Amino acid sequence: MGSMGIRDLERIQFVTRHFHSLQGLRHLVPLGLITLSAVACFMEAPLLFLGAVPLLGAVLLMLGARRYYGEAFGLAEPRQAPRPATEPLCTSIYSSTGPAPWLASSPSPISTLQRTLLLIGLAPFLYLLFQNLIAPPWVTFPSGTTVPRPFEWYGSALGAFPALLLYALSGPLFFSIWWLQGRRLSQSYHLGLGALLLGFSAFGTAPLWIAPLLCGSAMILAGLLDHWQLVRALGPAPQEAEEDR
Amino acid sequence: MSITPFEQLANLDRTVHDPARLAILTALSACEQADFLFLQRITGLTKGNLSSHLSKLEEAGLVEIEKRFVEKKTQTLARLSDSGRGTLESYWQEMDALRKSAAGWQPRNAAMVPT
Repeated sequence: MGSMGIRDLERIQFVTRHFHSLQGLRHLVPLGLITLSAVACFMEAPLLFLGAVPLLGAVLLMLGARRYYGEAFGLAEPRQAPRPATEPLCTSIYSSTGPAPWLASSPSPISTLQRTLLLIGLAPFLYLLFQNLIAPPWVTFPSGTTVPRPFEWYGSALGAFPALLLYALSGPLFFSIWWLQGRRLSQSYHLGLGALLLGFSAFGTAPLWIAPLLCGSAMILAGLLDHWQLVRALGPAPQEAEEDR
Repeated sequence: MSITPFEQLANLDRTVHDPARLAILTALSACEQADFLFLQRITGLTKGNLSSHLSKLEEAGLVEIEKRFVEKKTQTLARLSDSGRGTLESYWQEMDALRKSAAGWQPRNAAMVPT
């Protein structure tokens, strides 16, 4: 290790503090795949099963990514309670510009809040899922009538509600992630995606499948960018960490 | 006679002021505990260097090391001790004071300063 600058210390503190939330393949990408699977709800019966593909991918990612991150990057357990007195103070002899913002701030642990936000984000997808479980379009009653699909059932006005809800939850979800991750410039794609999704909601919800497609794609993109940032920040894999982690 | 900022700098705790050890302490101050692999990835240190610095920090009582077996592999976990948190806090306070005094420092005898 050569010289240690304030930027290096900032990178170290940021990545360590947000190690879990930066694991995009564990959180945002599976969430995006689940959202994409909701697109299938708007398809005809033969294509309906296509929704199972991203759903299966999400389950596999959620199961495998945890192990992957543990083996590739190790373990850093988030702090359980804030201890402001032990945070580094506002100082920098490495920077001529004076105190660095990262040292001045003392963000509290965010894992619980982020989990809550992710659960809120899951709400519209669960809503869509249950709609189809309660009234699956492929079920034919003995009388010969097919149960109408949920959005036909409720009519177009009410059918737009899940799409609007999806936009309304996804936008703030991205804003919240950006805010909780320290409002960093390098994380501003969350801000951009959040604004983009809220902007799209202004154009209406027709056709209905656009909302899960856009929101799911945005989540996958943000998750991949988070993952890329983590990989870039943690540097190349050591070649000698086999026997001792 | 008051000491100059440069003398203050020389009096800093070298255990903490070393760049590699400062990187390790910064990482540990941002989490509850971290394993050897994570510290190696985040600091960019080689295994030998990291091990040596962790030993020094442990000897100084700044870091607590725990070894455990996970899937038949040794996992080394490091955490900042309470004394380590206090030392790190004092270090940053000293650095802050040093920066302020260095910013306002004037040589006592200007004629002695080489041009």
